[in-house]
Amino acid sequence: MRRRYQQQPKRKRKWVKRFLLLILCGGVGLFLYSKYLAYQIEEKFDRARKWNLPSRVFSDAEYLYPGIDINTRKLLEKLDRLGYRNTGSRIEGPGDYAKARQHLDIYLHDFDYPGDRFRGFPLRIELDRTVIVKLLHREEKKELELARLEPEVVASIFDERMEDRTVVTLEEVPPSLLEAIILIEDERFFKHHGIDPVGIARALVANIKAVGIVQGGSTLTQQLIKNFFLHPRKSFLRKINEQLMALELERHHSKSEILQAYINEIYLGQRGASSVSGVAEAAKYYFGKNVKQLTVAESAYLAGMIQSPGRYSPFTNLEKGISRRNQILMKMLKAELLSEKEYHMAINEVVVSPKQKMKRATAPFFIDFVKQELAANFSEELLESEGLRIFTTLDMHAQVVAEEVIDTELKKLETAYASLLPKNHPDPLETCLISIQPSNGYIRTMVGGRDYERSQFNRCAQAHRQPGSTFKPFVYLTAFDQERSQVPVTPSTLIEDRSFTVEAGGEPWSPRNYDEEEHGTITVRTALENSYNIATAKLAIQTGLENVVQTAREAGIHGNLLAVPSLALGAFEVTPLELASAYTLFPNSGIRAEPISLLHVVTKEGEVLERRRVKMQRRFDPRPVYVTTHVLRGVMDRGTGVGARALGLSGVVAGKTGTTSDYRDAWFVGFTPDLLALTWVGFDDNAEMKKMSGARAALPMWTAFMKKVIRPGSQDFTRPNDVVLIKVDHDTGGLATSRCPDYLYEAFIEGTEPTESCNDIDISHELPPKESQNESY
Amino acid sequence: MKKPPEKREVNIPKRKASAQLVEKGIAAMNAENLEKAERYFHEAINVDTTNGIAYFYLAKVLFENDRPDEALGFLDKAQSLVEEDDDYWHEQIELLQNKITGKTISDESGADEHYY
Repeated sequence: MRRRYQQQPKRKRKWVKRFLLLILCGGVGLFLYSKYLAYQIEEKFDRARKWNLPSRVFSDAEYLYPGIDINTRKLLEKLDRLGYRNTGSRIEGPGDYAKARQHLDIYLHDFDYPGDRFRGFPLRIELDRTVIVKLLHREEKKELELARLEPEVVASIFDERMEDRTVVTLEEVPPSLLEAIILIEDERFFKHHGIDPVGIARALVANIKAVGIVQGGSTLTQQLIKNFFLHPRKSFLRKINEQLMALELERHHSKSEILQAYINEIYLGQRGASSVSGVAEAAKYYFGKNVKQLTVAESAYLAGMIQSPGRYSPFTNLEKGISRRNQILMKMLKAELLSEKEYHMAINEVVVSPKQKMKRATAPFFIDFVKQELAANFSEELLESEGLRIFTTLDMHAQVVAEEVIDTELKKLETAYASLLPKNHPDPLETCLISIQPSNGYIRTMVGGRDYERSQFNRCAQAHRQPGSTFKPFVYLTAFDQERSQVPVTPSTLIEDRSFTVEAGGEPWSPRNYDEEEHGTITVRTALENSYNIATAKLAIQTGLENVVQTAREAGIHGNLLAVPSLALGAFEVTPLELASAYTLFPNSGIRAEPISLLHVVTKEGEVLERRRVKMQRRFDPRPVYVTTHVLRGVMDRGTGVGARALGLSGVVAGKTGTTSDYRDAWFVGFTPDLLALTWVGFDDNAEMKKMSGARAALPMWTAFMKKVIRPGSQDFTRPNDVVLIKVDHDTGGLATSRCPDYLYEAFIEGTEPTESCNDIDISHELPPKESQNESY
Repeated sequence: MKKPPEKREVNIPKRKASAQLVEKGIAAMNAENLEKAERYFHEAINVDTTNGIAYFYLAKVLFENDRPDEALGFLDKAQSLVEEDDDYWHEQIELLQNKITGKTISDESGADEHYY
């Protein structure tokens, strides 16, 4: 007994020791674990960059000036895409617009252009029906010659988290928003140290009373920890970690730092595949505003959305959202954060959000193209994390039109000519539509295929196809240039469109016309307008095939060009982009502008990291260029491109159709002085499209596009001083007299104009004996 | 020194809008902000691709920014666009062309103050 009594304190001491050891070990373990968590927090939280910010790719800006038809340019759709809000009749702040019968008011957004900070102002656009007649700066009460609408975001380059976010500081956020968030999410934020026992107890009571989860006890700090550092799955360990980390975070960081991180981190809904993160991005998305411009009511609305963004979204559940907003406003009133007057104003405020269901251009092929351009200097990781701002040449309106046109025109084609297309072909008919501004080489639109989801192969930039007859203008340009051609040629020169045979590569070669006919003695103009192969091949041989190769190279065609007669008919390969770019020399008076898609890369702080230059160089004498362009206008008025006129295209246009052997490619390249566009239709595997010529398959698509994008203001191609327009007979090319009524005005380089009148030229449409040329190629 | 012409009255809205951008570009050039000036002249061309004077100033700013090769292409374009009877502008273009190609400069008049 005594022994027992003696043993008890010893055993007790042993247990106490063990207990103390356990406490000590636990304490050390907890200490080390806390340190580990603290390290993790500091690692992420203290980094200068706390979030991976997506880089944004912008279109070019839009200029508005008198004469522009706002319907043609679909200005209201553009405003919707830019996140402007239709406020009905009055505009009060940046991002508002209001349309009346005779005017459109826009309160322009602020925008940071590369090296230029633009401050928004209220703009009045006076209209005559839908055409702009006057622009007024409403604040300064002065008339403007033009106004600039900011570029649109075409795409964001995300990391795998796909979070769209605009980072702001606390100073940039209105106090009402911060107050509303704290009030509704963590009323005791400034009183606790990361976890709030009072809040937890209150939530517990509320949940017991309601027999369900109606209130959470997590502090803002815990929510931030959960979103920022931990996985979203609920588990006991995660809860413990969350609380330990919250304590650590509060130990090392001020409340302001935590609140700032919270308002930037918080999830506030989805925009397609990407999430809307942070209050600034949410303000833009839901209210079309910079966060600092939010009203009290909008602040309360946004604060209310944190609990469940989908449930209270103004786009899908406006009524529920307003009810939640009103609860918060009431709470703010009771907490004396609002006066009675402010409360009543806020509660009666109408929620105005930007329009959501509008057609957006996604320009995926263009974005891929730009990314390739960026790849040399910017890694993917950099693009996904640094929030760079990438300015491009894309015309967003034209891109939307191009995407619509491709969709509708291809479907039309497949329906109307189903019998001509191969049956059960495994792949659909494919296409490319590209447009370039000739004056500076800006790529304005690029659609590299009909369905990016299905195939990311960019047919505009990557497909190598035979250009067929679209190459012919380079033959004629060589012929009209006295410095390049072996023989003098003008559009009035007569040429035989009659079958001939030459030796090419040891084999006899004999060109044939698409209509399988021969047309006898014709003018050079007629040969190009009607795309006659025989006459063109003959002209190329007379001009000098090496000279034609030289012209093509200087125009920017880099393919494998061989000085053989079939070159004249486009029997080699080019990419559509290469061809479109080469054509720009025609509307650009012989000056080649390198195609350009990327203009500036700017950091989020505004530092310009990269600036691409427009490169222009004179490659050709403007006179033969003008003469060729003048003949190409005839293609549209009388030749193979006449279908465009039948489809309602008016104004000054020039262009050329192209069809390759066995109808494997259908092309059209056409231009105005301001814009050049190329359309191509074909199968990726070169399958035949019976009788689907350029005029039938590619021209309607080109016409539909151009009709919607050509800007007003009729102007002609620039005629060089020493090019003269002379009235000549259409058939003979001789000077027109009363005896030849079918005349036209032909362009001649001074000194090359015809001297004979049409009466003196006798052309016979009967075919002379067949020729055989001795040269071999 | 040849006297510059009076500003030409331009009635086409597109040209007026473009001219305003040219004016802003000239102001930026005078303030020695060549990058900004270059951007304005590009924008002027975007608005009106036939405004020869915008091409001229773009060439001028490129030349002043030590990019003479790039300047020549735009100057060529300016030459093709400026009206045939506009002696003043043809002379300005020729002067700049000579400057760029290193030829002797005989006259330098104030193109910056008078341009339409």
